[in-house]
Amino acid sequence: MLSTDSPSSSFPSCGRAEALRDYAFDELPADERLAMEQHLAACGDCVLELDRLRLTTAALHTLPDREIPQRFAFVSDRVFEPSPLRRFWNSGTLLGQNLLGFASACVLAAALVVSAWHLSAVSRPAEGRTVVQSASAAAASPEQINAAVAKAVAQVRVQIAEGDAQMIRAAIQTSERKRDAEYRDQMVAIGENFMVLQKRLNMTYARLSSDEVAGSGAGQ
Amino acid sequence: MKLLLAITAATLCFAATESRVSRATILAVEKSINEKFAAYSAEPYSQLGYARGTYLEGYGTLFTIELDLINTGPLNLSPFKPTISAEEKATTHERKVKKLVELKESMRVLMMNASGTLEGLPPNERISMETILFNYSWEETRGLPHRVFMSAERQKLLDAKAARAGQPELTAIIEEQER
Repeated sequence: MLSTDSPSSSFPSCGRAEALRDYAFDELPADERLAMEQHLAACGDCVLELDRLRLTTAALHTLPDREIPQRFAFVSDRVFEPSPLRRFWNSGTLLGQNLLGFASACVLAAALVVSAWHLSAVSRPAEGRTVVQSASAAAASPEQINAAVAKAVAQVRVQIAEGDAQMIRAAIQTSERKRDAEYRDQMVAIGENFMVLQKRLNMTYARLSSDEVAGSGAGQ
Repeated sequence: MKLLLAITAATLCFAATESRVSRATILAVEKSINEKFAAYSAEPYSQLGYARGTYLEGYGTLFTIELDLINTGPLNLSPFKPTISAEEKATTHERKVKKLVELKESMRVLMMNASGTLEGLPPNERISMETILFNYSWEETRGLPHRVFMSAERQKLLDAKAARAGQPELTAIIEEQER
């Protein structure tokens, strides 16, 4: 049997909402089913509610079936069981309680020693400092604090800006040096290429002139 | 009689001014050098000038030529090729080192052959040859000289030629300098 406590449970007004939902989901016994059908013939609210339930059911049936995730686990599975160490710790055994008590005693003893040492070390000067600090804190107005904060922020901003500018300058210098080196290499390469070209042209001119001389000699 | 004396004196004067080594024989050696280095091969030389020879009285003949051991021009920097990779540099160096060995062997053979061509050269005078090697500024020149100079007495070269000497024998009689 389905049960619900939704706000629509007060609808229909005939008070047979629960039986109507069981009827809609085919969970009503046969004898009650017949009675419900007779009731539906006379109750308009129940017919309206039945139509809504059937629409909802039809909409639910249009949803695709999903496989249950394989890594889905229930809290009763062994994976959720506490580890043996945690079970031992939680078991409240004598050893566990003793350990807990011993650790607490150690922490308490350490706290006592540290506080005693601290008090003896700063007994008198601390008063003076406290007075000065409280005096300065009392003298500082919110405007002064804001001004001091603004000044500090401005200083940090200036430092950051200077750092950025320095980095940018260094990057530009490195880039310029690299570009100059590349430019110099290109110029040297162009010079060498021209030199080689000139030598090859000289060879061509020499060959042409020697051919002309040979040709004129042959012509004579 | 006077005429005979005049002809004899003129002949002696002419003989004194005429070089022992004719220009024609020097040209023949220059041509053989040019042909050798211009010859087609899998790794040709890049000739940057024709061979030039001259005779120095009392010393012998000297031939010079300038070339690049391999054709490195396409590898050089240009607006279309802004960088030369380390691999290209290493490959170029390796190719040139191999080619240098071949150049030296060719120079020795050319000198040996020149000893037969240079007929007027006294046997005790020398046949020398210098190859000027071109390298681009970006090249790795470790183990690569800028000049290879070889020199030997003509008589020794003639003897080697007659004996059909190989590279080891030629290496023994030809003095080599690398600068």
